[in-house]
Amino acid sequence: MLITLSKSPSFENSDSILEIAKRVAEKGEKVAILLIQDACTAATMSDYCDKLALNEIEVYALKADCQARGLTEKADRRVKLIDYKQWVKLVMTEHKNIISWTS
Amino acid sequence: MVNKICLVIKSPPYGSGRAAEGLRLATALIAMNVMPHILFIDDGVYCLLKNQNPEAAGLTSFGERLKTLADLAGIHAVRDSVAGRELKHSDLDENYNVKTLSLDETAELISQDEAAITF
Repeated sequence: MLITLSKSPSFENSDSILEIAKRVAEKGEKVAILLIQDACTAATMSDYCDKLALNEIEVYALKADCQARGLTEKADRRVKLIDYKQWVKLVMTEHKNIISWTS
Repeated sequence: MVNKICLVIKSPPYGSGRAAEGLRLATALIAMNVMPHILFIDDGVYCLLKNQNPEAAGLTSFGERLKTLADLAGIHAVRDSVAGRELKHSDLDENYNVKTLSLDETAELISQDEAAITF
């Protein structure tokens, strides 16, 4: 399951989908969060990344959106910065279901 | 083509057109023989309250569409989202025959679908 978030956690509460993600991961399914647009701010929040790591949820962030916001150097070391090609690969080959959690 | 879709409504009704858009997409999918799951979560559960009168504010109700979708596809809502807003199941419109789900059940439902689109 790949979940795409596009809003900063302080702007939009994503607790519900993160709770769902946690439960899916607990069943052994591979779960990843992809941060794009303003959600890239979450890549710099260690508490946020700690919580996801605890549940074995991988975190990706779109490099271009991090660069645009000056967040690349500040991103938590567990966050994998990816380009558009890698995004397509995640969607097409690595996850069987895709959730776009946007407002 | 993706045939297993979950439409997730997380916006409250009428402040924006998002919830109505999601329901229109549900209708279109059914017309294309794709039966979606319809799930209300977070503020989206406010769409399901009884005694709504959007016409009072000059707005068009989507209650009839919701009733039809309830009959065709069924309506699910996350129990924690309902309770977290100090709402009870009895506050929800009985015409929609809402099935409330725990977070575990929600995770199971959403895992069955190839794609989930949020509104």
